[in-house]
Amino acid sequence: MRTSSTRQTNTTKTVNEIKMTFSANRLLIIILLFIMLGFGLLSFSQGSMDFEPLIFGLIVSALFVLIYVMMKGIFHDFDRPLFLTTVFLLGLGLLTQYRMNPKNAKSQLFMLCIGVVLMFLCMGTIKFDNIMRKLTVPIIIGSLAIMAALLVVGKESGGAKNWIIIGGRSFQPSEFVKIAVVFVLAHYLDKRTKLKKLLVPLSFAMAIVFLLIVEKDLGAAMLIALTTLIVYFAATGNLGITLAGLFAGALGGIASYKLFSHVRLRVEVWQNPWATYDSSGYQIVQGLIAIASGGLFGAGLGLGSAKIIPAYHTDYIFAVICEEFGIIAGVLLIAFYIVFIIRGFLIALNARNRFLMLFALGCTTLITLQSFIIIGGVIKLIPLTGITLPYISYGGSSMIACMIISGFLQGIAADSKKYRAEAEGKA
Amino acid sequence: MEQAYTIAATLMRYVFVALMAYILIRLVIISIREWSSRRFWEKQLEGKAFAQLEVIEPYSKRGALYDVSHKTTIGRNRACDIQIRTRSIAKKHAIFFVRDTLYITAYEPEKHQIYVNDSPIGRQDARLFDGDTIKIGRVTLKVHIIEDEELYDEELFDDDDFIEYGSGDIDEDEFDETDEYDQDGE
Amino acid sequence: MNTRNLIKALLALFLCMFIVLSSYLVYVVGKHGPRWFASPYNIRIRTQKSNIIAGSILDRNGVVLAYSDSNSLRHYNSDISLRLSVSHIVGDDYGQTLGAEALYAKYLLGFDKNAIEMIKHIDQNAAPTGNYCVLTIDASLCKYAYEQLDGRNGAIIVMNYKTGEILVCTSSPNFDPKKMERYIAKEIELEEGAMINRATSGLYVPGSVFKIVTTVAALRYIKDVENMEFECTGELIFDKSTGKLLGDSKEIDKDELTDKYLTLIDFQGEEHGTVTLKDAFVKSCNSTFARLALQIGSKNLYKTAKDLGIGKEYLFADIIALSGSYTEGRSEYETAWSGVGQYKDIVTPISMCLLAGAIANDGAAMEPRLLKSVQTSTGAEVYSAAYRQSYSPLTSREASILREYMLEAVNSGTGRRAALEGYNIGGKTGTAELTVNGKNESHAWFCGFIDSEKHPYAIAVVVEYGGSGGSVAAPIARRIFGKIVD
Repeated sequence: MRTSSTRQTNTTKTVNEIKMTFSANRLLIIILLFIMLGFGLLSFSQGSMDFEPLIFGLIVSALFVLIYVMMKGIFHDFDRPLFLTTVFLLGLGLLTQYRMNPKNAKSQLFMLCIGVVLMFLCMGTIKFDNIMRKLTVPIIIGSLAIMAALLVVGKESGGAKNWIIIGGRSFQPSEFVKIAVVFVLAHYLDKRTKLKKLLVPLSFAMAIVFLLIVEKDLGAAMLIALTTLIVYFAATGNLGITLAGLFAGALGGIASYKLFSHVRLRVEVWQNPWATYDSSGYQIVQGLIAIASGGLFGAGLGLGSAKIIPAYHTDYIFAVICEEFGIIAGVLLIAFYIVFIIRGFLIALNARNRFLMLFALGCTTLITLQSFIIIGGVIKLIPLTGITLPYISYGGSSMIACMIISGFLQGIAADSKKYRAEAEGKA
Repeated sequence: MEQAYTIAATLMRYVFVALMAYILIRLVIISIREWSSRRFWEKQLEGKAFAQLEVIEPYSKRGALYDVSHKTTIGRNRACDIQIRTRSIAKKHAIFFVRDTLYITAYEPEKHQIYVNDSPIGRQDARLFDGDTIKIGRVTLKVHIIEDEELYDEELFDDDDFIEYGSGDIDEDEFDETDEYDQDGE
Repeated sequence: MNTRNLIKALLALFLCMFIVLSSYLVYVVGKHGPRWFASPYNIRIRTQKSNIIAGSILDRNGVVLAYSDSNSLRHYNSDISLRLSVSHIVGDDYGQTLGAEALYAKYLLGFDKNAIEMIKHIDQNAAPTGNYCVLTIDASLCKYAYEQLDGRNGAIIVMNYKTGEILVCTSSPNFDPKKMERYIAKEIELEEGAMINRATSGLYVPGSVFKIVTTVAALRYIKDVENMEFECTGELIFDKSTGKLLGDSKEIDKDELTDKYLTLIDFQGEEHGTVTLKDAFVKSCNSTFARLALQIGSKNLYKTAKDLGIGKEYLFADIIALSGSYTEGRSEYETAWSGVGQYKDIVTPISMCLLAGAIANDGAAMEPRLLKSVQTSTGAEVYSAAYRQSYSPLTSREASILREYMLEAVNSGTGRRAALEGYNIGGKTGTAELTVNGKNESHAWFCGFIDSEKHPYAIAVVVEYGGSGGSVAAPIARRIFGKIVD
């Protein structure tokens, strides 16, 4: 006895009400318009007409269109709003980078292209998640090896020893390791097993966090620790252990505050940067002044003076955007990350199986926490940590890691849509 | 002319913010609508396929599926929701109902027994789990429960498969229509 | 509890976090942004000065206080006395002080861009200029007030208590903005602390003007205090080791006790006899207020002081100001002295002026305004000050009682020399005692108001080491009020 067909007509009626004509194409064109207007404006910032920005802008736009077409062609159905959000963030990022330093922007674009290739690869692997999961142990070993190796051969930069140089370019392995941690967690938390079996992923995560702390990359350590807790909590619902973990983390934070002078320094500078203006407070003070100098609509693209802030192209890119585009734009940018989070979570909820659901959750959480921590640090809500603003900050490893995350998220989205379609096909 | 650039950049500020706001609002509206349509679907599915009974015996009816997501009576009588015409079943034999999960109870426990997984349930309300077999007279039914993950610590289940909701009862067209955007962007 | 629901809950959590993030951004830039922008570390101000001719600063009557010539050189008013009297308010061209030059740089240097204005400028083919800032002060009155200080250090501030506009704000010692470059190069000596605006940021011992706070506290925490009577014998005696009140000089025979006592005496040892609260206020009786302070308790005094604005963090839009602080005494002796404005009580002239203004204005303190309006060089108005209430320190009833007391204090009490023929002046004098290099000095205080529809002004005067409030500060207030109503 099948369910009566009267129900079907009811649902069809209501669904029609919900249905809305939305054109992904149209929105993409508007995003590209934004980008081209920006580069167009930059093209005569030097007095005479300079075609380079325009050409750069055209290349960027063409790249986005190409990606869009290819994704539609290969995967047919993917999460379009997430795609558009990512495109906007990338576009705004490249525009701002170009405005500050065209060389950085070109390097960033190159990294983006590599990232795009990897993105498509990752999208494709989702179908074979069973095979991927067999690689979990090698991934664990590999990550630990890389992080441990950093202790020895790592190059120090900005107070943290988390860079390696391969073939002339410097990489930040922690960016990739964080994805590995999420992957490992999702794999183990998939099955309903006893806590004992979870010892492997949890101690893996703890080891990575510990190594990062030793290498003084506190931002990444905090990020991975929080993400682990969140994924664990979502997967098990075990509030007790999660709170215990948070508590342990807090204790660790307090301990590091008492033990390490550089942690103390960060907290002091956070509380009153003006007191140490001549040394450590300089960056934060100039950042705040830059944000305040923007006004509601900004000083205007190219009219700000953000170059005096150290790390204006990486950590402080948000202050640059606030100065040139305004506070309203700053708030809107935060909202774009909110959209990213919503899309990521929707993808997680629609995932085909539990592993993919947790993996999507973990990846989205990474981006969420990362953007919150860095924006919070720049506006002095929390102490400043050295992590990047996803998709926007300059940084090869950061860009590639973000594209990989995009790849996985879109892959899971495409996969679940396909699966659903097939399931309906059977019925 | 530097002056010209300053003026142009000053004017463009509003354009940039307006475009940003427009793009954002469109994306937010889509996400909200997708979210609410998703909840709508979840509610639909709750009603539709929370639990099913699959007939094992008699052989002639093997494979038939019955929806038991709501209060369902089973018996020989025509008035019952699930009517099974064999002698071994009473006129009104059992009721399936849903409290927090699926339960079965007998109408007249002294006269007609119900066996869940081969043990009699007596006069209690017996909780049913996915995979349980119910014997009513000579009819054997298997219980399928389709729902989300159980709490991690409970080791009640060991299914490897993530059972997709809506297997079997959803119209394909309906799913296409909730997909907000045209495949070809028109 | 299943994973899906947890995920949804996490989504809600993250949404909240990000809403907090954006709200904090908006809040912090709204509240502190102008201050950050005006910070001397902001190089944009400096660089903009080379791009644009800074606008002029005028007083409320159109007197030019600062302007830039066509070579972008900054000039100030040619009258030296006037220039000095408004130096703190106007500021300087080198980012050393937080006067109008820095606080309103946003307008003066045209940071608030108006594209249409810029296009007009291109038409005229002139160099771009910033906007004109009209301040609320009356420069000639400031000069007059400065002259009343007669070379002594101190501060005078006059505010319109109905609108919050600052009419007079002068502080001494001051600096000459014309010479700022040479001050920085250390070619000329500048007196220490000369760049601080004592009217808004000068932290002083209040002395008896603090009795206003104690009176309000008494009205709040002692039932029916207006009808009570107190005995004043001119002296209160405390135990030296515990600080506890032993009694007044009538009850205790001082010679009996050895060196183990501390005293609290009235001004010049005056005895006031039997007084009511009003009498004690009008005659400024220390003994009574000391007893009241003990009855009220230091915690309640702290609360009242904070309500009345002392110890509050002032975050005014137009100026930077401090409010002082009240520290709770640890012993009765200390609490008693804190009730009469000594011990560790600290106030600023602006906080007392705001308080006097609130009393005159039925309990509502208006937000101090220094910027009256901003106009572009073509005459279009960009900004016009809106008058709004800042906080409400007193109830209407408390305000009217204090008004009555303060009017009487000028009528027949210690503030007699502030009285002005034909007008109702209310006020409170204060003689703040302090010891400097072993010598006993006192600051002369007066804070009060004119009770008039046409001239709704509140004033606070402090003359450092001036002596008695009644004989030094009150007459200054009278002369200034006199000049205003003319």
